[in-house]
Amino acid sequence: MRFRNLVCMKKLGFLLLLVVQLIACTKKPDTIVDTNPTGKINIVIENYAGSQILKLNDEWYKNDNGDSLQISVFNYFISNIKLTRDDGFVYTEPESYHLVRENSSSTKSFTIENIPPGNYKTISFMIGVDSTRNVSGAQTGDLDPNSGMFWDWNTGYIMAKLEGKSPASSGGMVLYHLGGYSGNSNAIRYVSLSKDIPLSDKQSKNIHLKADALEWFKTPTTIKIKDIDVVSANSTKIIADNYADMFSIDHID
Amino acid sequence: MVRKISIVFVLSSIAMIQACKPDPDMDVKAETPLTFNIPQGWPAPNYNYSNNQLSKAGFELGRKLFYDARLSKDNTISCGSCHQQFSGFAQIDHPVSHGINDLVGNRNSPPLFNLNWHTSFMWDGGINHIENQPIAPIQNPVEMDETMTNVVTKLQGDATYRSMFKAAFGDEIVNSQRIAKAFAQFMGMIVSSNAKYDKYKRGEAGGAFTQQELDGYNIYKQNCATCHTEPLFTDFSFRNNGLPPTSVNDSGRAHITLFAADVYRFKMPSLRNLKYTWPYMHDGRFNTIDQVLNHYTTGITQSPTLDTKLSGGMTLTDKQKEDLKAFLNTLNDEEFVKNTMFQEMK
Repeated sequence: MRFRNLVCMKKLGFLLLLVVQLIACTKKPDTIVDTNPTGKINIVIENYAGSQILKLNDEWYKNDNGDSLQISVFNYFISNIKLTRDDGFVYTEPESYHLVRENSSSTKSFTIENIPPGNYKTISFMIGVDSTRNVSGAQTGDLDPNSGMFWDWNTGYIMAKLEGKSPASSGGMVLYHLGGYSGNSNAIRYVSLSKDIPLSDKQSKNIHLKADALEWFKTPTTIKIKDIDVVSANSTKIIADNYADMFSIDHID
Repeated sequence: MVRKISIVFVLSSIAMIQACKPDPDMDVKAETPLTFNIPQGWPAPNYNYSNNQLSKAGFELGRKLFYDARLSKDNTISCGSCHQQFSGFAQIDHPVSHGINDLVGNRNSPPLFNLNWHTSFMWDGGINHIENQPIAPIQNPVEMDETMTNVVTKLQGDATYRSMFKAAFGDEIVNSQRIAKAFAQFMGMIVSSNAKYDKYKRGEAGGAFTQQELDGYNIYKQNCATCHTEPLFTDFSFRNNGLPPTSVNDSGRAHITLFAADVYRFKMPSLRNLKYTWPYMHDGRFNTIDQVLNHYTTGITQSPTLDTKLSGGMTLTDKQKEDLKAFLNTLNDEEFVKNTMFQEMK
């Protein structure tokens, strides 16, 4: 009798293990239920030319030097976005590479999800693509070289690009392609903007950023288009220093 | 009875564990893996496929792309047009190659082998990664003059390619990154390491050097080894070797860095496979090894960026030149230029 019980128990145990094994084999659901509280932030960008909203191939604008110009292309990378909380915690967006193109409205807003709540004080990012991704081989997504923001003969991304026309240019054109990720021709610039950005669980906040294209032509150096109609390696630093402060936070809602 | 059940249990457990594994038919990438072998005694390569899983399917896709003229604007020129296997993947008898519409550039088509050890690409080193190499000739107006965007569109419209992308990457999506990674699988696998010299170093049959070859090896060590370093026979540096500038006045490395110190510097070519890869130098100005050696003994042009090691030129007797040539001949790898693995698929 005791022997039979033992066998039965073994059988039962065996069945239980079988069930456990079957459960272990069941595919996990694709969405993991995360109990950590998070919110999300939409970055919404509006490009400006001075005080006016930028219109490509349309309006004539005046730069700091008084040169008239029309803008036809205005593109730049925003990458490595970080949000700093009042307690010092820093949220870093994973795979943070965003190509913003004025002629494509879908590129002018994007969402950062899974941000732990709290009182954020600063948003910081890079204009351009970090040196690592410039030397790490073929990339995809916003870093696809087919975007027109990549130099194939001298590997590297065009960090920011402004094209247009101006009567002040001897050839009539303005071609500012800013690239390079090291040394004197490093076109990467860092931006840090402060504003109270309180974010609670399951909340969605919009950070409205303004980027002023005319900042490329002023502070710290006033650009005369007759002197720089096409950016060369020598003028890369001057223009990049100028565009470093083209961003501001318009408002948060 | 108990023991029987235990055995059944153990067996069932094994069966269960097996059942937990993914269906092997679904795992295309792992189906036929490919291994990149580092030849004995060679340093670790610069590119090691850590972000690009090697597979037979990826390699075959890269091979098809390499020989496909549709990668050019008018569908006439493939990579293989100017990088021919019998010529060590250079182009014999062409100082510069003909691109689309017979346009020509300024530089000699470089041979392609042992690329995974290279730290940069092109004579001026403008390309910093093997995966970024193919896009340059594809988009160069005097080479293939096509856009990578159009290449993606052309390949997406081809059912054979779509199935090959699926086999290599798991689905039919064609993009520039996958094209680049497939290229790197094919081109990086092109290794030349079976010349007589290699057999000599490994102590293999067929590797016994003659006295003349041994003498030549010593002359090489005294005169060439600093820059054409063993076992790859290049140190991948950029140097001005004293060639008189031509009317083209190619600034070389300075074209990329814009540094005055880099004017007339070019990337160090390997001494392997010279038999197949003539003409020589960045502009293909020399047809023979004799011309090259005469340059180093009597032709050095002084300039501010001339490599200091060459400022006095080389001193070689006629016999030493013959011995050196005998050694250089041991660097020709017949197996490599005839390896069917690298040929265009029939």
